Amino acid sequence: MSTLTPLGVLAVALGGAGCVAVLECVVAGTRLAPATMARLASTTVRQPLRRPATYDSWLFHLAPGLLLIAAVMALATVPWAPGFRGVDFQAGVILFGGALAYVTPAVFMAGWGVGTPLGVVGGFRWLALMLAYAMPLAMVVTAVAAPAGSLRPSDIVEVQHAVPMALVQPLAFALWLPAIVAVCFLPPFDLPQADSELGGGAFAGYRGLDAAIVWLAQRVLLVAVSGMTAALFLSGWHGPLLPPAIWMAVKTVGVATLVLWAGRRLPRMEVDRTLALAWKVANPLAIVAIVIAGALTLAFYR
Amino acid sequence: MVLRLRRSRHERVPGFVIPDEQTWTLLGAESAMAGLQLTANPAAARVVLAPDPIPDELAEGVAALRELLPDDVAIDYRALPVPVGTRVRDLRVGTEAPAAGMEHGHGEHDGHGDGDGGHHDMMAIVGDPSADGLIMESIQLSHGPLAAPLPGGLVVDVTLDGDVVAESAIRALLRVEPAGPEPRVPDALTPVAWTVVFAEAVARAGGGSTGSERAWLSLAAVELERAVSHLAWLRSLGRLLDLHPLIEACTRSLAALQASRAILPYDTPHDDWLEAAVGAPDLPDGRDALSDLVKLVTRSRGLRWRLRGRAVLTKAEASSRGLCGPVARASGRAVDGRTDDPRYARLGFDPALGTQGDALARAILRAEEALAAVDLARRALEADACPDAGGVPGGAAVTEGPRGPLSARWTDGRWLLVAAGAEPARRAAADAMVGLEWSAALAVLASFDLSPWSVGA
Repeated sequence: MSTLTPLGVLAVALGGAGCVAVLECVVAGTRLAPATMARLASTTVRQPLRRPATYDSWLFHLAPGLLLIAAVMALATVPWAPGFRGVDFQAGVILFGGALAYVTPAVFMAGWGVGTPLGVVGGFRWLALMLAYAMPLAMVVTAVAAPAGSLRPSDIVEVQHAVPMALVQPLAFALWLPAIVAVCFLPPFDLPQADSELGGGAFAGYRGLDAAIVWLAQRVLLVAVSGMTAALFLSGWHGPLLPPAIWMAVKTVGVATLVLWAGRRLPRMEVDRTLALAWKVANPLAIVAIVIAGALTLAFYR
Repeated sequence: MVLRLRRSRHERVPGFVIPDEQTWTLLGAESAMAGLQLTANPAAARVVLAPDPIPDELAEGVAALRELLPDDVAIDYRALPVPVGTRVRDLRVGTEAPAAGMEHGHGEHDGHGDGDGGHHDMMAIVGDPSADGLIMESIQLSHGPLAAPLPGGLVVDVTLDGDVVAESAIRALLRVEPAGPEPRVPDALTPVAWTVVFAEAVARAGGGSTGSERAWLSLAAVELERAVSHLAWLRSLGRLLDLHPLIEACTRSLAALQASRAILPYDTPHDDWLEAAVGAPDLPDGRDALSDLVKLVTRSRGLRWRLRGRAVLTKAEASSRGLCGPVARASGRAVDGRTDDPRYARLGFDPALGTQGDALARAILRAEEALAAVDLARRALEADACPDAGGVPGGAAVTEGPRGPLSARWTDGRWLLVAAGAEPARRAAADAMVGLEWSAALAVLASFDLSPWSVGA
């Protein structure tokens, strides 16, 4: 088939989220207990949809759904193998960035909707963080698209058949990695929920199916950004011996493992210092990365 | 329906601990937390570990917590080895008041105590709002008394301007009134040091002193408690910062000290300490793990990133604020009750001092003090004849606890207890939080290692 059906994308989302859950256990060094995990998942889903004492009904209930839609939409743009992708869009990387952009209002809606002081703080933290990191993310996408002369993810993969973009543009790769961790609100950028600081923050009010959707969306997001990282920087499906889809899966798992491992090695970032780093360092460097990409394109990719 | 989950050593179930992890660790009940993956988010918890009985002061907090917990959460009530506020066994002072001539030499402590302002002492600090210059709607927030990983019983009332702390006040809710001649441990985070202080106070009230062997054991027990207290605090700091290498290193060090902690008299009468000293041979293992921890704390870039330059207290400020214990020593102020103690002099004690006075210096100093405490405990258990600790018969007994000097004196038919430095530390912490973003403010608050127990008159 030339494209995955929506059902196929959902299957990848669910399967990927399960794999991420396993990876989390592996990285944390805890024993994988499928029975316990299944019981936890089952009881979580069966919990009643309890609402906080004061909350904004629309925002509160729309946020998890919007978050999941954004995550699945981002996942759909990832090229898993030649002809094996959800959406074959000419400006696929822009669509990917556009889908991720909806994570920002979703998290803010959750924080504002729950109405607790720490929930609101979590929402505002996220808004500030994403405003700061959206620009480097978009500029890095431009930098890796330039050599391919295309915004289609599969074209960017093809241009890396000889050398992965991570080696050609290490600066862009270094800027991309923290930005995608931030998008997934995973440690050390788990600022909107930050259990030990905000007690769950923006998502503390969710129970039952709502909580399960937030959990699922966060893991689907990780699969999506890991897959896109493999496609944009690690030559995607290119590799010896193994089938293309397997290479892509291996690289995706590698990126996801790196992200989860880094989250356990680094302390949670502080908002003020993180924002200062983003605006004063990451954004200027992203412009430098575009200039480098232009020079490289003129020199080697024309 | 209550969810039943098997808790094993390797499987981890999200759990919330009441009142806090430090209390369970300090009271020697760490095994109760085995199999729990501690979470500070009540909504994520599947098991709640709670002491039986829960202190009355936490009832309101527990009620608020129940609103946040999932409906099917399992609550695991367990009795602590030392029930909170328990009386100290085998220590009883005669009901007759000491002679009037025995009261001199300690007047500066009389009538003073931690929390002069009453049971729910509150210190409000107001600073300049909005460090970034923006005018935002303020948010009133009462963080606590069950706000893990901060100690349960500590409440931080703040006004947030955006996410910047504009006003701050700290309350210590927990309190035990030592009514009558039987002393009661007034701070569950410092059970051994208070027990030792009471023992010495009782001996002094009778005009004598504790025996030589018992004195060395007391000293070793206090030092081991200091090590455990600092490690438990470092671990909670690691949880606050979400710094897993620090959490794991502290857990390893605590496990290594676990066997040695048999000499700590959590649940044994004072007279049984000699028999309980068999754990001493395990101390070298604890030292190795602690050495690794000190290296980690000293070299960790993550800790430096989060704590360096935060809440700097100069030596002069520490002195003018009346700060004691590790907080003052991290600022370079050499205030340590052990310095003048001939027993510590015999052991070659040299107080650790910091210079920077920031949150990082406080963390490094506590890690170094934990290592030094294990060394002191080992030397004390190997030492022979014990010199007299000095002091005036009938005067106040003083011991340097993990957070500063602790003093007890029996006079006029009542106990006078002082935890010097606790109130200034709360005031300094509240002051230091103002103007900081919320996560930085919490890290600064944690760096003071405040006790939720209010001690004194």
